[in-house]
Amino acid sequence: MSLAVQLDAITLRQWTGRSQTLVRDVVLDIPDGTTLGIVGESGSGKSLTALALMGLLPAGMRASGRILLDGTDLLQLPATAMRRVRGARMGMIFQEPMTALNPSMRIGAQIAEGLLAHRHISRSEAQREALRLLERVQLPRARARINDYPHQLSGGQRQRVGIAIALAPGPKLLIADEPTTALDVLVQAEVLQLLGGLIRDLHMSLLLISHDLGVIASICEQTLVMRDGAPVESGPTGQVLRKPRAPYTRELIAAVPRRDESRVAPGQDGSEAPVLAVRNLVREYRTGTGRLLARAVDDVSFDVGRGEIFGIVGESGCGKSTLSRVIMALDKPTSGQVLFEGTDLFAVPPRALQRLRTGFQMIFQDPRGSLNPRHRVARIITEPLHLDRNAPRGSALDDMVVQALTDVGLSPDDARKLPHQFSGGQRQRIAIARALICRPRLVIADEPTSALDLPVQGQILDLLRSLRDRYGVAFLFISHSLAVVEAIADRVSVMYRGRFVETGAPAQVLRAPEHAYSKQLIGAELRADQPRRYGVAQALPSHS
Amino acid sequence: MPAILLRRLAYFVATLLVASLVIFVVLDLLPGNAAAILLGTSARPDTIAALQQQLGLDQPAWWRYLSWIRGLFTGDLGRSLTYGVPVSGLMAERLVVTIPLALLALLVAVGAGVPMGVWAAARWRKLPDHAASVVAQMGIAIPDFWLGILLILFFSTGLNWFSAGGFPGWGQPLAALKALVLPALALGLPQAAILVRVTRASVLDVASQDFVRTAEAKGLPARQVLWRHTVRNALLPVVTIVGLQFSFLIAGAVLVENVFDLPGIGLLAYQALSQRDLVTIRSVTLFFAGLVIIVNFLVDLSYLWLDPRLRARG
Amino acid sequence: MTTQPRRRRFFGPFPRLYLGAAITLAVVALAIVSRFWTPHSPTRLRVPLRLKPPLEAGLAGTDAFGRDIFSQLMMGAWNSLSIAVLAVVLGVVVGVALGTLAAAWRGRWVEEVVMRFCDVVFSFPALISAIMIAALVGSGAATAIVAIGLFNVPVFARVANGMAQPVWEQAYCLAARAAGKGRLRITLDHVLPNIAGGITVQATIQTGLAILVEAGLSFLGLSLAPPAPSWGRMLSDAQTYLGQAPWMAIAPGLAVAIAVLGFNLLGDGLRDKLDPGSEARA
Repeated sequence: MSLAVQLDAITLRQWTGRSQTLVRDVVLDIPDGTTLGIVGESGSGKSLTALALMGLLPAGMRASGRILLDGTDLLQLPATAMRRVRGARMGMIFQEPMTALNPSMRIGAQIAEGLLAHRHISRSEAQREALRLLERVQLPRARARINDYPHQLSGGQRQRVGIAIALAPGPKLLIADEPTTALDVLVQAEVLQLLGGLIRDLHMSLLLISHDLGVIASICEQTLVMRDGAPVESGPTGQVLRKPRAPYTRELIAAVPRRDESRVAPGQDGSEAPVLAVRNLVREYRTGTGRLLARAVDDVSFDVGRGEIFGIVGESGCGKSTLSRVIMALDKPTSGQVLFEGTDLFAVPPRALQRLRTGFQMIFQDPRGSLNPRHRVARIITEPLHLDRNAPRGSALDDMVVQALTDVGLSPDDARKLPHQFSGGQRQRIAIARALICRPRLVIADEPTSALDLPVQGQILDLLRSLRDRYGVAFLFISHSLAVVEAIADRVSVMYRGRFVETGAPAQVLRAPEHAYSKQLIGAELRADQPRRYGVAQALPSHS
Repeated sequence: MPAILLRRLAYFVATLLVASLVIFVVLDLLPGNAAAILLGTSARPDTIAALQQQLGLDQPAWWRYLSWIRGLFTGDLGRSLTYGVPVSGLMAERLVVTIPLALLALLVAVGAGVPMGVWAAARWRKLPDHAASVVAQMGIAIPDFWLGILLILFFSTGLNWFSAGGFPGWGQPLAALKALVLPALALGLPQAAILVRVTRASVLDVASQDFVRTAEAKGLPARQVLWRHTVRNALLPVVTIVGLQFSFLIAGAVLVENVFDLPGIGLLAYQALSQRDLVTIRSVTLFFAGLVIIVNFLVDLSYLWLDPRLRARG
Repeated sequence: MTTQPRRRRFFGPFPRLYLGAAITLAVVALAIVSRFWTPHSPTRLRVPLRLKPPLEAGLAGTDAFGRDIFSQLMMGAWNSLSIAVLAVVLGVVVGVALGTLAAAWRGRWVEEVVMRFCDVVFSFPALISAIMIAALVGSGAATAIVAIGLFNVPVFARVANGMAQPVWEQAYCLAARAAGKGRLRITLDHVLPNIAGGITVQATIQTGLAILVEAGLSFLGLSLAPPAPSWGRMLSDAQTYLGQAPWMAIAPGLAVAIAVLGFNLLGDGLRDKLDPGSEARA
């Protein structure tokens, strides 16, 4: 199998009749048994390129050029011939395992369906083959689960089923579009290991698309960097990621959040009272009859000092979101205390609690959802002030808004605009301005950079640091990304199943962990400067 | 699973009871002294009292309510104030007209509406889709009773293919069915228009979801993708709408039976109203409300079959 | 070829909006004008002119008593529209309040009670409620308004609740709670502005529906009493003269259909404008 692509353009016809070129001049080669990764930010055109190869471009988009699969130009094929190619010779897996499977069809049937469409075999034969595939993708208890519905499986398991579906008709090329982006770190490692093993054992080729340099580095032999619909640089992965030629590639690599070793955290004066003290916090979920369902937060205790950035790192489901809600007093704990500047938040009357809220605020993950699309920026930013009876009004209030906007790096003119006029990074700045307007002493940041592109992540982290330096605000920084937490936190705690399993300085916890889970987590982390680890039979000599 | 079913069943019974309570309050308690109303303002007190006793109106309210409910099970719904005959008998002989009519209309609506909606969605943005959308848009604006009058005008008065109304009774099955054709069309076609739109919208909505793209990536034939993946998952909202529209359907039966002079429950309701025959109205409205509740219960049950995700949650 | 739909428009961006607005405006204009002027008197009997076809005597002909049908249609427009609008307003005010409150206190008893109440009211189609109310207090405009309005309450409660729930799940509502705002305040500040568009769309469509229902009610004599002209009753009267004067039956029905069509197109057009993502919905 060999794929030689010379994609001149992917164009979109708009209703006005005008055409817009979305992707241009992409040239790539995937010989038999090789792995190629396409890396770029959102909007770079990498996904569209993959869809063009499969002939799955959305209506209104057209690809021009040549896509030669084993010598046949796919772009010239009629629809019925393309259908035979699709699935049988090229398979694809997508990003969102939650929505990629038919919810009303059993998983075994969905795998068998692909088989039956391309091969003349009986239904029972197809079922048997489906079971073999499920076992090959290492789905636990495959025989029992083959008749399950997708919703009964976890995200990682669904992605395995997706791989099984793509592999079923026996394609020689597998295209994976951000296959692990929606998955946790540990699950991501498992899926990538699975993919690597499969392409090695089945002697397949892989085209992997991702925005994550670490993922690309872990499995792809060759890399193509894309930006704004055009290719920037390509070559062997080791060379592209360690000795990049193009300035944009260098930017991309540099954007991975890195700890600034030179900067010293403001010294913690041990005698000062902590701004936040959590004592034996427990949050249980029980059924109506009292049966215990889960303990989302299981006896957590820690302190956050004045002006300290405390990082909590953990996978989804570890309880970090529940923890942040309880600390914000948006949810009641089952037992334990949350002491803000010495006051137990759950022991004071509601009125007093409301007044205390000006001291602690929150920033959320999704910059789009955290701003009311119908409110202007000035109104959004000043929302926390409504509690403060002594809050300034009129021109004094306007001054405050201007100050808040300049603090986060936006212009005073932005006060009158609406959220949709801003980019994701800018919206996050607005959210930060909102959180800081009443000069809180503590801000809880729940995954504030996870939804942003890499370069923007770095900018936001710099902003948070500068705000801490200027105003002495303490941050409780929650993230699933080890790199981000390492880059910004003064102290780190690893959270697993509702507990803090290890706490300490980032250099120690994230580089030389002691607890078994921490070790697993840090071991699964993929970094752009590490050698390829999946899909290799043995270590290949480096091609510099 | 059975726990969910039991809960739905209990819920359905509770809704029925509340509905019956509402009807009772409105039609029995509030009107006050039905006997006095019947006999008029110039009646003498002892005549009123005698009629009251005869109708059982001298008993306390809760007794009257319970005996009515009990009557629903025993088949004794009281006697019509106008005709003097048992209400149950009246309703029974009318039901044999209305139920077939409603079923035929439902058949027309679903049989014409859903396939056309799928067909329009499959040819999205092409001429057949636009044509279907225009026709559907006009169809939902047309009152069913007006459509009935137009059908009579055209096919009866004009072409003389059908009679202008009336019902020969099920003794002559073919003639009876023929008499129901125009009414069923009048009742069903506007509903079909609604279903065209809903089906089309639902299919288009589902067609843009990720799992359809996965199915295409498998290289499945377009028809298989359409029916087994897209339509199968698009049915849920359609079924919801069918359930919701059912209440409009039977309300329409009242009107259409009026236009076509069909001796059904709808016509009975109308006649009872003009006579202020509260006893009959009571049971007839409970019948209508009950029918809607039953249909919604069945729709609820069908969800469990259509969407496997709901079987776990309930 | 893929079945994934994306936007593509042929007749300008919002054909339905403009067409719907034009029709609705025309109907409303005629209705308002009828309060001051009609081509002929809708109630004056002119027996020599009875049962004359359109264009021979008046734009839509005359009825069994020689009354001008077009003038009756105009006044009927006013009556139908006012009843429909009042009923929908009733439904919106009560329904949206119930629906947003149920969403604000989700998971507590308020939500349960509201939803169950909706289920019970839904079991009574507007026509059936009208029959019950008429049996109680007689027919009339009030009966029609209450019956139709009553049915609209759970419609809007469901719609408002359905739209409000996703809003509550947005982070900006959580941010407002973190800022210390109470649920009622958040409903007013954040939820209502974000569902106002959708509610308006629904209200427009429900008005069309209300006109349809009102026509049915007056057909059965449950709405306005004579001599006030109403489209439904005109249709009822026309049945007797179907062979002789078919225009008596065609004109009022056409009026209903056009009015309803106008509101439906307007509602769909508004939806296109406010929420382009759902353009796929017919």
